[in-house]
Amino acid sequence: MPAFRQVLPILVVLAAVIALGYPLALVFGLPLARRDLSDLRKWRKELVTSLAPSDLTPLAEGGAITFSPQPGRSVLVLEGHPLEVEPDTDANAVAAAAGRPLLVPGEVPERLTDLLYRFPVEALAGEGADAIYAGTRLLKEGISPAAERPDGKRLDFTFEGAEGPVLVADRLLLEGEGFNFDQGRVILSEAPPFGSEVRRIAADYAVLDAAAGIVALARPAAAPLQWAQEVVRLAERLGGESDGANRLFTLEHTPVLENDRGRALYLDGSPLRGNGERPSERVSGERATFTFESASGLVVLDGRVLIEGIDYHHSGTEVVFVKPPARNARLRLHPDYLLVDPERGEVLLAEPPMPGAVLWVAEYSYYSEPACGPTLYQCFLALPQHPVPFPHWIARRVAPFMSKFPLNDERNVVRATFYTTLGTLAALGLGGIVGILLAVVFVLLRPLERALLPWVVASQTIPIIALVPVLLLVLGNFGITIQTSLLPTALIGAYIVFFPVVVGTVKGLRSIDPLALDLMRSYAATPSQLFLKIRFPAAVPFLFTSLKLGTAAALVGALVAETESNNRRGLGFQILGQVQSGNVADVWILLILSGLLGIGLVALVGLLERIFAPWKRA
Amino acid sequence: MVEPRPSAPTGCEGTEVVIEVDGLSMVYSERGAETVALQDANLSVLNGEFVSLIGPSGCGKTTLLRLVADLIQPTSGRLEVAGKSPRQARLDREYGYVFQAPVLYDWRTVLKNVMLPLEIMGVPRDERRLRAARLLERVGLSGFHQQYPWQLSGGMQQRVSIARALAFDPKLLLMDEPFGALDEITREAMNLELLRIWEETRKTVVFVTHSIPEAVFLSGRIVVMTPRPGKIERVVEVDLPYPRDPETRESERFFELATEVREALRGGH
Amino acid sequence: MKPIWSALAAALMAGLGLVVPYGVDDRSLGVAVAGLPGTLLTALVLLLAATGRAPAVALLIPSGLAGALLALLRLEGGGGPGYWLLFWGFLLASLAATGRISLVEADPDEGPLLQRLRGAIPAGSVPLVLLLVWQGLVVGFEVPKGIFPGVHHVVEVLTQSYPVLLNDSYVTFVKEVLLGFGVGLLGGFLVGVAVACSTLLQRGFLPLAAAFGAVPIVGLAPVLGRAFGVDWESKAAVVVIVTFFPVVLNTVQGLVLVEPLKLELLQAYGAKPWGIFRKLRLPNALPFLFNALKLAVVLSVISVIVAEFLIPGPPEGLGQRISLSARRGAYDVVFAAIFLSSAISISIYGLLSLLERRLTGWHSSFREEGA
Repeated sequence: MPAFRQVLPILVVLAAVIALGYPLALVFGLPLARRDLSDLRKWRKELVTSLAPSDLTPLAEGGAITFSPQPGRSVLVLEGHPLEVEPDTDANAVAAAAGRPLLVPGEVPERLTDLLYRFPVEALAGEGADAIYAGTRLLKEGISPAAERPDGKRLDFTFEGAEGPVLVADRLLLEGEGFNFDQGRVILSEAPPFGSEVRRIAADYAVLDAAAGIVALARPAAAPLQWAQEVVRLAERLGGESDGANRLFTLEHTPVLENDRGRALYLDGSPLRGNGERPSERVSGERATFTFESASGLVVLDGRVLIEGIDYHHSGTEVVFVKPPARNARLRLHPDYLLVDPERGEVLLAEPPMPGAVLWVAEYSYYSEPACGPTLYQCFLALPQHPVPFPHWIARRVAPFMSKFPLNDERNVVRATFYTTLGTLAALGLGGIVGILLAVVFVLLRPLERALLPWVVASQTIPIIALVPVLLLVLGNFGITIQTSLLPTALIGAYIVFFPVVVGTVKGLRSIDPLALDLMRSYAATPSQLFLKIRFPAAVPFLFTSLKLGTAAALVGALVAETESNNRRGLGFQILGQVQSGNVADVWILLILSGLLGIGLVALVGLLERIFAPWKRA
Repeated sequence: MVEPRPSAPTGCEGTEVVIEVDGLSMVYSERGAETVALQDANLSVLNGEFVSLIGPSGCGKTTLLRLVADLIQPTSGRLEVAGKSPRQARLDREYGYVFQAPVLYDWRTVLKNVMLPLEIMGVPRDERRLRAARLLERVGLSGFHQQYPWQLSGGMQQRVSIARALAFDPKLLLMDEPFGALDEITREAMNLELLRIWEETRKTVVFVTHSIPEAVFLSGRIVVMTPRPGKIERVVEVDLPYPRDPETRESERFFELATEVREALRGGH
Repeated sequence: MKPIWSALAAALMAGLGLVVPYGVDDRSLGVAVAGLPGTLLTALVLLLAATGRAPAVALLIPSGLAGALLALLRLEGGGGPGYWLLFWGFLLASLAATGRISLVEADPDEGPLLQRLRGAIPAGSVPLVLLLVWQGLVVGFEVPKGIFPGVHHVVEVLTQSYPVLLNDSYVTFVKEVLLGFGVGLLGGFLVGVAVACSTLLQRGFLPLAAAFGAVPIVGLAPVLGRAFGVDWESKAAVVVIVTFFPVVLNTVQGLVLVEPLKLELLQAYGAKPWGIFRKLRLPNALPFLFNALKLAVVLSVISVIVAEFLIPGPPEGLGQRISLSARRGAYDVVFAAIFLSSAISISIYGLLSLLERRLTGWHSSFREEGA
């Protein structure tokens, strides 16, 4: 089968090109994935706080304090002071070491209904906001938003891992009175208004209104509620020897955010200040003496810790440099400590702590893992936009993409293709006619050719596409816009098409065998006969070759004209729209579609050639 | 050098002089250098005669033919075609011209190629179709009307070209090495065919060739030309009787005449 | 119309332009008087040429045109009847003069320099005439700069903001086009050689590559922007692709379309494949390659500008400049940038043609002109 033999190599190479899509997708996607993987800002951010015990059995009953989960390197803290007991000892030992009750209750919350309580505002703000107890049991906060967006009509919503009452804005709905539960979905009796917040309590309680102190419970409390103004807590202890000489300590969870405002480090009972102070003078390059707020601390110049006595001297709040720091150098004084290495969580103290002193942290944030996934490949898969998607992803998008808009919408792909085809054909026709006329004039009037042909060549170096906005403006003055007329598209395409047509047709009109001209002379043919019967037919194959070249160009012209005009028609607009909304797979579909369109149009011109120039050998 | 003159016919020529060449010269000058393509040629061709021009490259045989066809103009001398100036003869379509190459138009079918001169001369459509079909039949291409030239062999293409030259029934047929590009076997078949057509139509033929057997086989007279400068060396009368057939080539007289022509060609040096 | 009549008509119109009231007010009368000698000079030269005298004097026509243009450049404000007379006089004179010159047959007595110069006049006059029409219409109809700038506005931008535009040209042409062109050429050539070596690839790859010619590659621009970032790299990548396909196709053709007899001759000499490649295939492919390069240069420039349109990055490069300026209505900058881009691509094209002539001057396409 000769046809099969002809098609087979094409299919083989086509398959190879498609297969090449996979390595290409990796080549282009992996660097982006690597960037996501190494960019800390794209990691999951976690907060470390001191834990309140989840169960605080009354001491009289000889119970234990339970923390969950149990961190490894830890220290017990009460009222801002570390306790000298091991975290896993029983409550009595802790109580004995502390020498006071382990929980200092705050004001009693006001009960509004079975489920709603009003707490003092400070109970819900700042450190310890989570320490709400029902009796001796710590309550957990948790709320989960609805997966669906309320549009004013929708009644059914789904929530992930939530089982409590539903909150519509600040209104509390209970199961049976306000909503029903049906096959994993929550059916509200009344549609929430458009754009309102629909949430469901996922744990024991949720803060409804932090400013008013309103808290909603998932179920009525079994014991009276209280909030712990002060409670023994489990805090993280920094690694490192407190021996009177060591100043370098490490945090457990790394890497750390460098400028974490919430980071609260304590040395025994006193909070440490880690934020750098600016000097009150400008670093001019000449000045050597600078004034800071604090009288002591670590002096850091452009990230380098300076050594007192060698680089500078202290006198009161003034720091006197041996050598003036360079102009605009970054000079900071960290009064108590400096985070020297955010990657490894290394903290440098200004003064070495006394032996036995405990350095602990009440709160700080760190990055637990890349948000995109633990491995490079997972990050690659999780990329929001692949420059080159895997071919089968593109294939999967075809059906949904094609049926995205109904046929009566202008953004429907079939209509867009049709519109672009019309524009391209109009361009081809216009450019073809102009090109042929010009070529005829050139052949008839040689001087004109000498004068104009160089500029026909030069005209193609003018990026006509750059003139699209100007052209649209000028045509717009005459009331011709791309919405109402194909003219702008046709003009732009025609400008590109006419060039190969002129060159090809001139060549064709001149392609006559000199003997053939002699023959016509021997017939005493008139010039018009010569032109109509000989020159013109001879130019037809050349004309079609040029038109085939021009077709692709006309398509580009039409596409670009469509991207530059702000209507919603044509493949060009579609491409731009998908690019802007980041649907790369759809862009690829459109590209392949325009490619097929281009091939189809060239084939159409080829068909016309067969009809109009049947003498050409295959 | 033998003075060329109208000679006693061996075939059935008339006595009307169709081509009268008198002291004709053609000099090309390019960038100061002059090339004498034809020097002082004298020749008369009678109605119905088959005359061959033979000679090596550059002897002026094609130049002479082109002068007769008014495709170029002579530097000096007198030339009459059908009793008129060559230009008038061309405008009156007195001759048909067959080139070395078939010069068929790619975009026309065989039939339409033959019809081309008739179209140009304004012959009505039905008549030109009729005449073209008749001529194609005469050259043995009846079944090929709707073919395109590239679908034919070289010999068939040249036959179309001959049919085209005969289409408008000119008095005179000018042929410039029409079979030069064909192989020996095809060429001999074409020679026979040409003779048959000539005998049927009684045209005056001026035939340029560089093949001695071809010239002897076809012609009544052979004009032998020599180069640098291009001139007529002598005229050899061919007294082989018409009609000729393949056996003519094997006759003794054929070889004698061929030898005579060969010697005349050598004599120019 | 005989040349002498057109010359007389032009002179008459120019003369009338002096007499008829020039415009709504006479503020530009001085400039008009300055512009008039241009017309009169053109008319005079035309008169001389029409009488068959002094073809060499006709060389002055472009300078007359240039003078007229210069005068118009300084004009502002709309025109009355006198202005339009002057304008049409200019136009007729210049068109007639150009036509006249191009009709003059070459005179063998003239020196080669003069001959070549005169051959260039018709082509050289065309842009002058176009500029004249442009400027004349803009001034005559008082078109505001924000809708369509005059030639003088563009010249002003070119002379005053050239550092910015030069930097843009550097980014567009050196960083984007040159680099992309080099990579595309090298890659295309190597792939072309590989394809030429394999029959399977020839049969399978060539139809696809030819079909790829119909794919609007600019559509790839946004995708490449994602892959390479919005800086110049992505635009260079567009140029690479635009260059790649014509180079592959033409390299393969040039390497494969070798006359079998020449090939057999070399084989008869016992040449090794490498020798055949170097001595026969490569020289045979050179003319094809140059064709591809000339095509690719024009395509590259257009594509790179579209790419700059479609991938907005740092505000550098001629395409970005055009896009940004068009958006804020600064069409004088748009035209200046277009002018620069055209001028540079014409120079590159010319350079390539020169190189082609040096390297492949033996090829038959250079002999056609004599026929």
